[in-house]
Amino acid sequence: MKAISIKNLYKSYPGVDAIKGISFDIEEGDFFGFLGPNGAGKTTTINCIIGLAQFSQGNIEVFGKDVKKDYMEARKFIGTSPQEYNFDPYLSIADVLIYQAGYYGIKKKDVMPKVEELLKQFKLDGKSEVDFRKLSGGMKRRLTLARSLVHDPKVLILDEPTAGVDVELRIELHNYLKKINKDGKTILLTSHYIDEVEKLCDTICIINEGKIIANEKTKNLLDRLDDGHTEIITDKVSKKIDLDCVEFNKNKILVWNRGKHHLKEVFAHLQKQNIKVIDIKTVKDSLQNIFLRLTKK
Amino acid sequence: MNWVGLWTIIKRENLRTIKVINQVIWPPIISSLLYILIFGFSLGKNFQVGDVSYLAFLVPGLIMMNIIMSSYEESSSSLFLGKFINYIQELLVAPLSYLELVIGFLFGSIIRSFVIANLILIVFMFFVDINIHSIWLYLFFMIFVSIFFACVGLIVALWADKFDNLAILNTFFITPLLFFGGVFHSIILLPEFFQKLSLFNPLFYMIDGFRYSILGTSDLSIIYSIIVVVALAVVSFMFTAYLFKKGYKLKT
Repeated sequence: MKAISIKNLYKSYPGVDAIKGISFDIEEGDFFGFLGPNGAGKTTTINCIIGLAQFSQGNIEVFGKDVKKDYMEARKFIGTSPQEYNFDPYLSIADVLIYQAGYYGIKKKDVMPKVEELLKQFKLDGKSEVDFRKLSGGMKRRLTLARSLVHDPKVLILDEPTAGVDVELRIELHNYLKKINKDGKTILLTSHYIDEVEKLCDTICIINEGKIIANEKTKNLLDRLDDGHTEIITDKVSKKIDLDCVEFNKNKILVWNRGKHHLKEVFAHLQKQNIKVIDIKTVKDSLQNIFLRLTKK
Repeated sequence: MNWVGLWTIIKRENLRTIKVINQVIWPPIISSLLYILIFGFSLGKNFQVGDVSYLAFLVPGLIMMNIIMSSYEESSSSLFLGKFINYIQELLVAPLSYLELVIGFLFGSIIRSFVIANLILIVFMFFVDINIHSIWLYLFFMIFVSIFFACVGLIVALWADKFDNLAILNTFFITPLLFFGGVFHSIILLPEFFQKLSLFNPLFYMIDGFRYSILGTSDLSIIYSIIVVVALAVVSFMFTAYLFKKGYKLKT
């Protein structure tokens, strides 16, 4: 089942085409990384899904419910954690969660066990009556996440959920997100921490200038575009052999990580010619480098 | 219909009123009391308007003035603040229809106006002998005028880009129309030209009709006031609902 399905989405602002006909699907249970440079269209796409932006063309469905025609049903499936804090200034921490559940049609008496569980989970249980303005940045971030989960949504949309939090909390949040994803929640994550996306996400979609430029399983993307390689320096110049992703350059041989890794065959080939290896160097690539290469103008 | 969601919005609006009680509930009561003491007891103690004392004549006008002010201020400030610090997004992404949002805000305004109006009435009862002529008309005018001004407040809050914009309508339209609308005087006392001009002031019908509901006396037939107030409430509600449906300045 598709958790989110976007078809041919266009969104324009006066003088700017923010989204230029994008299409992609997020499968139920997927941990989906949505990447792009600033202004690429990530938040606009998310806003189209959750109902904060009106799109001129295209179609978005959440678990088969059209976000325009069946918006009441579609929204019940979604929990959103926005980039900016947007808490109601008149509510205490516990009330933020209770009122949020109320807006989703859940009565206070029915949601209280969940509220207590989330406050405990996010280490806010001692702060339930406190005004949110008195919370630290990390606590506010945890409250945002708790609020997005209070109505038990099937899809969680997280826009920069770890922005401005310390390393310890980031690791805690990563572990928690992995756990709830394993338990069945579909997660759409945007983040400027590419290592975070690489570590957490099964699928990665990259948007640039309103267009999708990559959308595939994280492993496939890394395999396909990985520029990491092993550099072998030999005492003599080797004869060339016809192998994918192997480059001979005088007494330097580059064996690229992407595709089938041919290191074993290269060593066998060198041994056959009685060529000695003087030095070996591994050059790693990362999703961050791939991202920069794909999105650079 | 998301009844729990609607009730949550109403509860939230009331909670907001309670949290700013010193800003929104006590000031209108104190200022009304001051009006009564100064205009009623000192300036108007020997003055009659028709068959009623000036003191009694002032009561409905002052209550209606506060219904108008509080319903406008409640809806406009609540929605604008929601836009300003973005917590309106909590409501916009929730499974709530545009009608539920509008009705939720309206109830917040109606309840606040109702509480203020009746507290002022109770305070006035210590100074003036008041017997409400028609409780149904009293409730009718209170509710329908609140709906109209709450809708006006929502429309202005949608349009406004800064807090300053909210004051424009209050300062340049509502306050002058209130003072010319018969809060402190009967239009019969005015020169003929100004009497006719007053008939173009919608607030005159609200004050005059409300005065009838309390005192049983009015400058115009009550039917005119009922028609004007219902028409304004219905049209403003439809226009507000339309703007929310379109997402005017709420959605990008």
